[in-house]
Amino acid sequence: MKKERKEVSDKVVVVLLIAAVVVSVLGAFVVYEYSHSYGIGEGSQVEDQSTGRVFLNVVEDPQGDFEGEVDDESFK
Amino acid sequence: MKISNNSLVVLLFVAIIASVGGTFVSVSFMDDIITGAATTLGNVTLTIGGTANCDATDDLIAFGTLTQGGTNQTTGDTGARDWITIENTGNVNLDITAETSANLFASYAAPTPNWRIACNVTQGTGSCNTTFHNLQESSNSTMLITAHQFGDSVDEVYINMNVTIAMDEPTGAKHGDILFTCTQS
Repeated sequence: MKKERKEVSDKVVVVLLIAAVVVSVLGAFVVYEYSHSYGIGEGSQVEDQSTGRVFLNVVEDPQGDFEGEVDDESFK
Repeated sequence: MKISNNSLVVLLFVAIIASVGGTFVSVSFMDDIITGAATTLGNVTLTIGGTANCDATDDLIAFGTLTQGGTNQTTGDTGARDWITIENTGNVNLDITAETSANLFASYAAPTPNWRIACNVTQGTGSCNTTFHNLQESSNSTMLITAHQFGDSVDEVYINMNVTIAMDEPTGAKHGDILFTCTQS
């Protein structure tokens, strides 16, 4: 007489499915941490930027005898 | 086709084993890149990447109050001696350019001779362009210094500014921004 195989329950399948997902995510995390700590995949940075600021306050000239616009060549 | 739970269990075990095995293979591959776990002799080889970094540690020049028609600059014996300081915080020499990112004056947009910039001096041996140039818009930035060094005590460069107030400039508070771009030499 042939022995009938016992069917695994749905709960066991779900638990294993969750375990597979957890192991997969954990593995990806471990690989990421390893590669990060070794600097693998980090390229060199060749450019950066920074900003400067200028502030001033303009008041009226009491004499008003200067044109203000500067000749470009006069500074050289 | 209906897949039995038994088959699913087998497939899931295969997936778990493949995932764990793949992780070990990946980590082992990375361990081959750097060796340092020997019990008697460690041999670590690594390459430090070049990083271009700069920081305006003193990013503000305040000229105070100027009259229409007045002028001031941050160099010489008189005037505001308040430079912008840019520090090379990376590990490569830098070429540093400047451009306006916000116009200082309402009457004249950059480039204008009413708002000029120059390199004052550097702690290091970089080539400091001390000639005043009109601040440009982004399409044509001004080179301030080339090969600006990164070591301690040689990594700061000081930037000069020159402003002239046009007679038709409206009175009131003015604010301009300069964008410094630091590129690996």
